[in-house]
Amino acid sequence: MVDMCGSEPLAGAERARALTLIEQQPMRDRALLVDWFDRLCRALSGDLGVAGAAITLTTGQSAGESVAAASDAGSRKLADLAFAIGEGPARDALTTGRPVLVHHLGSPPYGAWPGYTSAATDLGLCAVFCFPLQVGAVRFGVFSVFATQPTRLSSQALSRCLTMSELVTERLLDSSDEGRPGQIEPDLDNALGLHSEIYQAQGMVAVALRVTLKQALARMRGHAFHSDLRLLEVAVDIVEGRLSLPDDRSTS
Amino acid sequence: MISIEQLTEVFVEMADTLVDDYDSVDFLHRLTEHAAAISGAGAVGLMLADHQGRLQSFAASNDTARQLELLQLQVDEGPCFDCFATKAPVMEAQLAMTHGPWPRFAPAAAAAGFISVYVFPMRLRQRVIGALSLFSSTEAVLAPEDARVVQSLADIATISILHERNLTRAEALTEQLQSALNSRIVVEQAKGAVAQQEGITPTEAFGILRQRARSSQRKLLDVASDALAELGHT
Repeated sequence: MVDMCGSEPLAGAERARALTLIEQQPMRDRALLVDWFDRLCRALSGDLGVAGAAITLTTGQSAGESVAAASDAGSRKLADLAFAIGEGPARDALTTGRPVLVHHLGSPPYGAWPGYTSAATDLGLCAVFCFPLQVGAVRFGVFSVFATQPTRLSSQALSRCLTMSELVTERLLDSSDEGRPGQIEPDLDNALGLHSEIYQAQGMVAVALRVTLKQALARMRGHAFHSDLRLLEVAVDIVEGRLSLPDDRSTS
Repeated sequence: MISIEQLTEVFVEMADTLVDDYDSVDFLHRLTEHAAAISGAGAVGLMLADHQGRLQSFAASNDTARQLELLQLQVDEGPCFDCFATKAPVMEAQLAMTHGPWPRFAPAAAAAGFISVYVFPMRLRQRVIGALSLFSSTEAVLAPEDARVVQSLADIATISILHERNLTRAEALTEQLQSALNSRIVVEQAKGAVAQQEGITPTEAFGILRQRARSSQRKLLDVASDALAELGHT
């Protein structure tokens, strides 16, 4: 690949690379989102040479969590443990909305989770990296990466973890969008990353239609798809008062 | 020429904030406003780069500044990209038009009334994590000592991103940047929600949220999260 930007990485190159790695993983069921997530976890583990990875999702309003996907049985167990105990880096990543990166579990200054640390080290865990799956105030869950030795992730490795987290978040947005199941908008990450109108419109639609932020974005994307407009165009129309999405619920 | 009196006031206020509990979204918005006030630039914007090196408009002294930043992202060229790529300040007292380095950005900026631009890198060791841009409607020559002051504002912006984290940890930057970028999204969502609720513009809603944060001495991010939670829409 020709790098047009000199020393800077081509935007999207990491993403394309990640998608290729996932496609290379054997598939069990094309129709299942969780199968794609499993493959993503395996792809990242293989890529970084770590023990495993897992995706934990929050289940609606009740603040419960369940492990949706994992690279292997051991990682699934580790991810389960984090929420069964009710403390740990994954829980912190979910509540604070920031990555929690622990390169050596149990060494200072990471003595914050005595119960988790003891149980996790018993299972052989030594380093854990948790990335929130989120869009602003919308939290879908956590992407966790596990290692059995003290591990420092390079900035490139961190970027790869974050790219995978973004791909998971995009798929989750797609799965909550009844209008166009299973499709990824090619410029979604750029559209989401760069334009404040999209988030402002999301807040406006949530209030106007009395729905969650997640549903609001799904409505906006559905409208964009059905009207053959870009998400940003729909958002700008909403923010500037030229468009209000219809409230199509009969009851509230 | 930046007056010592004004400068003192700005640095005292920013230092006061930095030793206290604060959040990056509010702090960096204020920093762009201060940069505009002391330099006389009509519009000041601040961009941050994410883990893939994609620049995002993070804070701006006014809507014009935000639009000038978005314009660069749209046409995929401009002084912010150059500053980020070369890791050095970009100083163009008078924007060259079609034959200059930014044949698409420069005419559009000129059409908006801006003919001079200065961009300063937000440096952290070998990296650049963002850029602070000053746009002026006059052919403004920034004196070298004033340029040093603005560069130090850009450096303060970098420090504010890293604030309470342990700088010796390599991962700290990733944690802070990801967190700051997402905080900005929360604030945008809250701006929209409050705007809809109150029948006002998102910019006016932002004023209300900032006012609420200041009068209750809470973080803008917390006030924004609460606004969304109260509406029951998260």
